[in-house]
Amino acid sequence: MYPIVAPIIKIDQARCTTPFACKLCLQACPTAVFGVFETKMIRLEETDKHEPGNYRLRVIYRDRCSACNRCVDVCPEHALTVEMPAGVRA
Amino acid sequence: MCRMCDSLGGGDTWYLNPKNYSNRMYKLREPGKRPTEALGNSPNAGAAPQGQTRSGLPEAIEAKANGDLDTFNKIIGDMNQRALMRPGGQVVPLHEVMEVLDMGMPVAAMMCICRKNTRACEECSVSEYSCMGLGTGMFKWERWPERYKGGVEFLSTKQAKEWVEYWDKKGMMHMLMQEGGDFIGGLCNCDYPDCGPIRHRIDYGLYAQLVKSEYVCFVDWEKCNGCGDCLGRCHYNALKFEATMEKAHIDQFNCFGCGLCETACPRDAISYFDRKKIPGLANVW
Repeated sequence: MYPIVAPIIKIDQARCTTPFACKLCLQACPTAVFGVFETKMIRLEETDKHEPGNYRLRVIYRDRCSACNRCVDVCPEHALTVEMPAGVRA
Repeated sequence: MCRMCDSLGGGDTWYLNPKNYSNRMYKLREPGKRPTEALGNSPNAGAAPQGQTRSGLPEAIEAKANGDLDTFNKIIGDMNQRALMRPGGQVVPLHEVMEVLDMGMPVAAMMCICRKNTRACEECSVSEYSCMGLGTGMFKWERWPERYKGGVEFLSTKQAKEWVEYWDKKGMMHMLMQEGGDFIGGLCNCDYPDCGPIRHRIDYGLYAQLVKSEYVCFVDWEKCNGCGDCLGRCHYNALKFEATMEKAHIDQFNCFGCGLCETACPRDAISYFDRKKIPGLANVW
């Protein structure tokens, strides 16, 4: 395995409010970098995916990101940015 | 014999030992013991708690993404050492899944939690459920946390077999997993990259979480005519097409023995060989 430097993916959580209902970036990503998780779980109660803040989008496999920018293109809220770290030639 | 067969098999393959599906085994779970925290489940996963350093997969991925391979290898090595103490999941070929389904009751189809987390798939009817629960734990499904629930549909053994065959035809490999303790409670139909265990094994080298099957697949080059039906079904980078020979080729060391290529072959050119009878592969798990 050779060392890599992975892109930095920033999610604007103020804009990305209902990721589980939207799910465009999750399904567009060729390497399935993202994950979506509940922010709270109440026993015997269903989490409403349309309620803002109930689900949160997270980057779980950042080393697999190739910065192809497909997620940035599909995001309707412009909540995602993918950049190479400073000092790395793009 | 894999390490689960040594500890749980009683001299045979562990998942063919009916004891591991028994109600008693399920109750052997220590009271108050919680299942291991999966990747990213806790709200502060990825950030170390105050005053201590955590080393889990999120930290390892962060180190790898920053080019720090030494830290990555150290964390993965530690995780493997810890995971070797406990049983892991194992890849199971289709013909042994059928034997398992004769043993584990009840059988229920359920939503895939990995695919829900990585692709936000909302599987909401039995035709879409790709995971399967076995044993008494399934009766408690209504009390599960909502994350795992989605829906559960109890199946008869015959329906379950048809249903696993359906996913096999679609190109999903099968694996058995424990629920809580050593009790075998899950039979998943998975693919790369959506499935967590496959992904952790292939991308990050967590070899203790997902163990290869008891078999290795070989191609009989006399019978193979290079039709290519098996191509694209391997999730483990083991199956390739040899352009000069015009035949399928399986890398034995990459092969997990899931048998997806075997079930796809129309000419029976691919067959299973017992891993423990091949000296060079007997310890390749």
